[in-house]
Amino acid sequence: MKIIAVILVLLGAFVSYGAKMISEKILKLSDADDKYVNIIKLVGFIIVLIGAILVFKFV
Amino acid sequence: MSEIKTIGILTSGGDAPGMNAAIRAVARAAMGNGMKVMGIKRGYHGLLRGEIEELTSRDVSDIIQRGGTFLQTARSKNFATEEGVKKGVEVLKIFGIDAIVVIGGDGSFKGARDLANNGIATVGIPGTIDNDVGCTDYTIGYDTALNTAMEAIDKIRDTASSHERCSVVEVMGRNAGYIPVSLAIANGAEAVMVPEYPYDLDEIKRNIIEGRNRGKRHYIIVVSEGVGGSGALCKNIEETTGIETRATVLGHMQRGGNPSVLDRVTATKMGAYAADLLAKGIYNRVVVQKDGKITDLDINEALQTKKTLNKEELDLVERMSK
Amino acid sequence: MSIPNIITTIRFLMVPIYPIVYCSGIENAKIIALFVFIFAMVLDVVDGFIARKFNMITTIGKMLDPAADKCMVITVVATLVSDGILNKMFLYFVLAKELVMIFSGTFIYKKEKIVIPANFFGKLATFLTFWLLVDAMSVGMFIDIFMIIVVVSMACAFVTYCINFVYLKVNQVSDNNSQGAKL
Repeated sequence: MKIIAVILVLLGAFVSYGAKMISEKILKLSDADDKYVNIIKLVGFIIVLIGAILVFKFV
Repeated sequence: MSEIKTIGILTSGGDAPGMNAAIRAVARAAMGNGMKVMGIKRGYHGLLRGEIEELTSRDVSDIIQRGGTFLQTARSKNFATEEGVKKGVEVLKIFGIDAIVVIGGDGSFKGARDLANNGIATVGIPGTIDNDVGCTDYTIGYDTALNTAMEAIDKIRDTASSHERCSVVEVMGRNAGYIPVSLAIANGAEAVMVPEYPYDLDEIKRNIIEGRNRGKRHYIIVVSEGVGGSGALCKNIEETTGIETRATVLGHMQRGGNPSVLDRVTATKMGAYAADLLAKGIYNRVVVQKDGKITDLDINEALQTKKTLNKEELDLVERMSK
Repeated sequence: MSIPNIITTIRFLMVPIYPIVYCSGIENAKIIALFVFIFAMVLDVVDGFIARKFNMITTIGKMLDPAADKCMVITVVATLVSDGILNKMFLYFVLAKELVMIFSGTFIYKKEKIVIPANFFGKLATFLTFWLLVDAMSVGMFIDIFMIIVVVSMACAFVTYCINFVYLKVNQVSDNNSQGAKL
């Protein structure tokens, strides 16, 4: 459980930080479309949150 | 684009008297429209380096009468690249800036257009002493620079008359002849040499000699910096005509000095106009003066527009010298 | 002193009032303390609003505003920790984060002459902290999870702050190298 939690945190951080790259390369969205990049960042943040909550709850 | 809440101001390219007045007008008008204003130091160079600070109303007080630009200006090689522009956009995002007002010449507007192509709302204000921005009749700083140079040349005339000398005065204007022609008319010059039109040096020298024979005691030749060669020109004239000839390069003093009424007023009008455009959600424009009125053009259109030096004004110089 | 700055000063004065009220033992002390906190936050919104709307923003004001907010938050958290409602670690975390931000901000400004601006996560963290404290002082539900969320937001704010600083610094260095060292 702990491991999943940590992975979630790292994954979320990666998604959030690389939101722009993800939206351009993986999802092939048009350039400079801020709205989608922000949504991806938010998604990443929520993943981090879930991971963090798990880390603290099951430590 | 969603509502513009924070704007940045930068000055780029050569400085010009009246830029401070423009900055002040943009800042105060924008604040009055409820926006946050950030000052970007040292043009696009400072933009890339994150030299950005919020401006308060007090920060722009006591500057309307000052020449130069308190935000400073610099040329940025890095910004000219596509990579540089993308970095600029990133920096603007970090500082939460939705739109920027760029005060400068054509080169600065190119940078603004590049930013516009990358999603940043931009408005340009023409500021350069050269008045060589094609889309506008008038650029901020032109009037003050002319007056500064005119007074300097008046002084040169005094001493030239006392010694019966010919003065070759090199003035600014880059590759445009607006400053030289206006000065040549205002200072009663013999001749003016500009990059846009050819000149006949032999005829000029003939006119000088004829003038001397009529009793003239001073001869002023205005030369654009785009033509240059004032040193060699002096030797040439002196050798042919036998009249003592001295060159004066007015240089950077033409950029400084307190802005004139025309520059302060035009700068303030253009600045407020630019801030109002952004408040209305209109962007990617350049503020221009056309036929005495302040209006705006699409930034791409503005960059394509050219204007040419009026040949009649050029001819007037020669007609008046006889 | 401008009106917004006067309001900010009042907020500072309310900081010691909070623990005094909370620990006073009078009837409904804790509810009154909650209202003191909420009122202080309302004043925070008001002074910012007036400053922006009436063009009364000052350089000092821009520094005092967040300072008053941090003082109040830390005082409230400390009071709640001493009453056992919030975890000790949370207080340490908040204190550590604020001190690091203040010192690094000052240091960077003195050395590099740049101000790293507040980022979205910072504002989010402040917003969540407010609600966490209101929750802690009233219904007291999900405090554990709520604290974790706030801590994560603060951590993200700090990380983003560092990333922004590094980005600007890298820009500066590569710029210096490509144009040759400037005088």
